[in-house]
Amino acid sequence: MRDKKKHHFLQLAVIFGVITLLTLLYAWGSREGTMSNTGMMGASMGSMMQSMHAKNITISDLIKQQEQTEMASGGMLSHHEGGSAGIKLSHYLTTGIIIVLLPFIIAGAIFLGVVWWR
Amino acid sequence: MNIRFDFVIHWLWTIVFALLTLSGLAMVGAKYGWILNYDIASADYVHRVLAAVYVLLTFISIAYEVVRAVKHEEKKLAWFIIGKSGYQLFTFITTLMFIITGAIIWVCMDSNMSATAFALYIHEKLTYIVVASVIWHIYAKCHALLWPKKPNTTDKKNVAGTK
Repeated sequence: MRDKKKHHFLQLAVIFGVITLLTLLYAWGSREGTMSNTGMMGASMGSMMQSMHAKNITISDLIKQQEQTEMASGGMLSHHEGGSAGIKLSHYLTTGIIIVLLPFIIAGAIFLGVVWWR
Repeated sequence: MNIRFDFVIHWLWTIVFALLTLSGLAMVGAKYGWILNYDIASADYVHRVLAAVYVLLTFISIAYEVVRAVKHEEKKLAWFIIGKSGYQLFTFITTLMFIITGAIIWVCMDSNMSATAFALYIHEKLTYIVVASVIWHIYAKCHALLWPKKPNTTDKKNVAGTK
């Protein structure tokens, strides 16, 4: 039943498991009476966005362009205006790489899908 | 020393994915912010730059597989990140999902909040699934991390005797 090859992994897993358990017990113990676990602070960004923006969306909502939000049109732009030239350059470079390569990645994936399972 | 392409891509991709996971989890919310000491701006910057590297490595891998498919090369690349079956296929599909949802978040952040929220939700929940699967992957493949044992002299004699 016990595989000797997995021994080191299991050792490591048990150590990490104990550390995780102790951390969780400590966190639960010290949180009592300080803050609610169900509040905004405890929610993840994805869950928060889902409840605030994606609860009753339809397919058309995902496609159509919305009017620029106040944060996007004013706040964000002015916030990034102050950025250094290096940050701007890396922004254009990374955005360029992703936007240019994405169609090739999708096309390659479709091609491989057809070739592998024909 | 014979360094294989699939081996190099595997570990480059692993390092980039690990850093993307850490910077991404730091941005998930207050509960994981401690990973980068609540420095969300740095986490955002690191995540965006590494995302471009991740996309580049994925593009190179797909292009490599496409060339192999055109040449009808059937040999399985044991260390490669993408493939037609098993964990390679799982990685291929989840990588595409990460890249597409990531691009939607990147592009639509200022123009379509519904699409951003939808993509962000999938991007985040997929992270938990993939991180869990990576632990299983390390468990399943941990034999590959053992340093190759040199055959001792008695083994060599036995091998020579059989010849």
